[in-house]
Amino acid sequence: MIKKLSICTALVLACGMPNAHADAAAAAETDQPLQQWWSKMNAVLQEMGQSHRIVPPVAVPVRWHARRVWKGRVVGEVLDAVAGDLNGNGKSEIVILTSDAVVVLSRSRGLIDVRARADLQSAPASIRPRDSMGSIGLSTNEAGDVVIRVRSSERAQGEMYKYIDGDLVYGGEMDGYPLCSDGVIFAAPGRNYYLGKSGEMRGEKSQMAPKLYSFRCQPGVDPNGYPVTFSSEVSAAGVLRIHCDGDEEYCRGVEQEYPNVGVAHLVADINNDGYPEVITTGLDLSKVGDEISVYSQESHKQRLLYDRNFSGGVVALFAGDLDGRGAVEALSVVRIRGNDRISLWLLN
Amino acid sequence: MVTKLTLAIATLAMMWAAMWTASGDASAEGRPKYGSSITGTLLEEPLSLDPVSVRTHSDLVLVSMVFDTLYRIKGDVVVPHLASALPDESDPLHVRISLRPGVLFSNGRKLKADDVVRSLERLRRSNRYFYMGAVVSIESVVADTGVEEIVFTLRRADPRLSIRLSDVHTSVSAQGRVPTWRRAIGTGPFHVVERSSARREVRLKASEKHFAGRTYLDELKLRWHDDKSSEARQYESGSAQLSSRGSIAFAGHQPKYRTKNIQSRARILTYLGFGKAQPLDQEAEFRAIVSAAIGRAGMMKMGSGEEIVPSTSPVPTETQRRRVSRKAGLTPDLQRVTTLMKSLIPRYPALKLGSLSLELIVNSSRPDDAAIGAKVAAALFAFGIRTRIVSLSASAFARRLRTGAYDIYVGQLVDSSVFASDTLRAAFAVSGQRVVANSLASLKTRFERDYPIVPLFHRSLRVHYRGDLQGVRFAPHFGAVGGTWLGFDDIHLIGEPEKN
Repeated sequence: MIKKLSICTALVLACGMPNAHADAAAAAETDQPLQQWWSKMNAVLQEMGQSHRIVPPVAVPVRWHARRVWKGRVVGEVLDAVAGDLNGNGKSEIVILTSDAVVVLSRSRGLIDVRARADLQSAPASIRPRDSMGSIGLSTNEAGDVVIRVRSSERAQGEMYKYIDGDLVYGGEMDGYPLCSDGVIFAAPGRNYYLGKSGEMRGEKSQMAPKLYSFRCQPGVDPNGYPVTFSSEVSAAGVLRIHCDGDEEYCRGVEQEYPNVGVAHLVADINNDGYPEVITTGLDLSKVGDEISVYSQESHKQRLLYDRNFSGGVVALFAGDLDGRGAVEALSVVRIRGNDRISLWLLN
Repeated sequence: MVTKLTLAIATLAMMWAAMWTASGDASAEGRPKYGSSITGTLLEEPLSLDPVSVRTHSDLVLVSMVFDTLYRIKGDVVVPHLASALPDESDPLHVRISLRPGVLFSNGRKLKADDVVRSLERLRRSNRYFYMGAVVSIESVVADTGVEEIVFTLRRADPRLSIRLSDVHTSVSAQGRVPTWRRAIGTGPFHVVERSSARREVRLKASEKHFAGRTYLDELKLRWHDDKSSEARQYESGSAQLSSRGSIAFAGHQPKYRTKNIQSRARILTYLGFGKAQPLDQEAEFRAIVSAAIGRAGMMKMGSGEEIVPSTSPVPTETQRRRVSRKAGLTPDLQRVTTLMKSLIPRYPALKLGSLSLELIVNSSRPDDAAIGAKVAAALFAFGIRTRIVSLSASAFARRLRTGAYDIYVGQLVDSSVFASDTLRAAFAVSGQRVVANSLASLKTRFERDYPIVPLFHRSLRVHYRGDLQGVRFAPHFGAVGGTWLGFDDIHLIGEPEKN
């Protein structure tokens, strides 16, 4: 139970908080993309919801200011990064997937460092895209253990790991690319995008864009304290679409589109005001370095809060509570393509 | 003091930036889009698609796009390509390489270990045998795991076998057959659709199921030009996206679209080869006379702004233009020519009488070669040797090369190998000689004694390309920032081109 809650706070949707005021059955009939998944997931976790207290969120002041918190080398090209509490200690670990390995980092005594690394074991992919791509999903198994699901396009199969006593323990292979907590999605053979129609989660087909570059799923609460889930996707046309599962009126205000968005993105309530912040990267491939922009997405209103240029490319954006104090931190992985050195930047 | 400090900080910052950009690409993250067609360039008319006989830059470009090798160079490391892992060298005399499963040829057939064996055996039995190093036999086996493997039996341990197997000459064709334009079946990112002599163009299409990823371009047209300015003219007017011979045809003009350019290292050798039209052509001393008579400094301004490094060796030097070695033959060596002529005159009195006349043939699809031929003729004329320059079409030129019915030709040899010894052996191979020397030193000595060819200079490739093209870079070369040929695999277009 503790682990489930930890993962939720780690904002990589390993599980969904119950939606006390949404009828799961009704929501399952809706056409809203991805809503069916979250509804079904919420229904599965209704039991948990019985004990959930509805407490309106209290906004915390956030100063957007990027600063580097770690730099180092990883084996291979970074494909994705997420954060989640892997060992139930209330603090998020950072999981980085590279083309050839899975790396776990965590913060201890204020310092972030590599704690474990495992080389991917699956056979080389018989057909791979020119740009390596990959995804990470954190889920919780029946025993309450967090399962790290990863897939690099360089490999023929996805793989599962557990983080036990500071080691990554291999747990077998899986088909497809992990889609958020426990779904899977498939990539077009030899191409650099996922096929939205191939996405499946808990037996439900996705209604994502036909071709998409990336996706993220985050839980949160609305301004009244009711649980919501945000899912987001960046289509091959560079459009970020936010989907929301929660109060209908609230979600209408949040479900917006952002044009000209790069692959790395994040939709998460960082300042705990009940509205998500939308963090995007740029689409212009001719630029040297990437730009991160942070928007507040209140009801139908978008407001630019912060932007910053980086000298390298931003390959992943994710959020977690690295020190377990209950405050969500947004982080980015910045790299120079073709170089195995990366740096982690804290954005707030 | 402050100025000095500022300068020091600025220098450090520049060094840091250079270090990062040298070891990677600081461009924004993102995924290129698929689609579109581009028109590029070849340095001469391509005649063959056979990996074994790759000799010119055009051969290299086309073979590397249509065929794949077991390994590839990435940065400074060798990475598996058609192989699924680095060689198993637990028995250094019987090296095992497992084949990547599921690789398809452009005709849809699955790649088998036997295709690799036949392709490499054909290379091993050719006059380019040296690219296989110490390999004495190659066979295919199926491992206990069901994975197909290739077993290389070696004369002596060769820890650099994987580097050798990344050379373009070791590319794999279906069943190891000699590819033809109509039947060039490889596993490469592109396949040949058409070669049109009338349009002077080779048209390639992306192979949908290339194991290393479908290319972003749907189609690629590569054109060659008989006229030096036609390529630049085409680029200037916006009807080609790339040009290797300048971005403008006329001074004062500017290309229609915003332009960038990149330059490779100088590794394309221009040399003089010798035929059998008269006995003198086969005399090493005569070839030494030709080499010593030519002042290569006059050739440094040729071309379209690319780097030209004069050289008397086929092995490329990494020196910059301003630091060209004295040994590069910048000026004619009168004393050496006189000495050598004195020793030859008793046997060839025509040298003394000034009645020696040579036929120098050039390939008309390499427009620079006629100018090079003229410079050579002028240099030889100073020593009483008359030269008649004959410009031939690429196919007629190739036919004449096979018959040997000429005295001298202007040739091009592209350095694909990492090993200087292989470059020297390749120089012997183009002259039809096979050398048994093993060490680099003995090969150099033999080259300077026999002069199988007379190197003139190494040139780089300076490619001008439209600003909307991304991913334009030279294929990696071991120990170097970039190789000599463009890798078209990663080229993609972004948005609309910006007009000048």
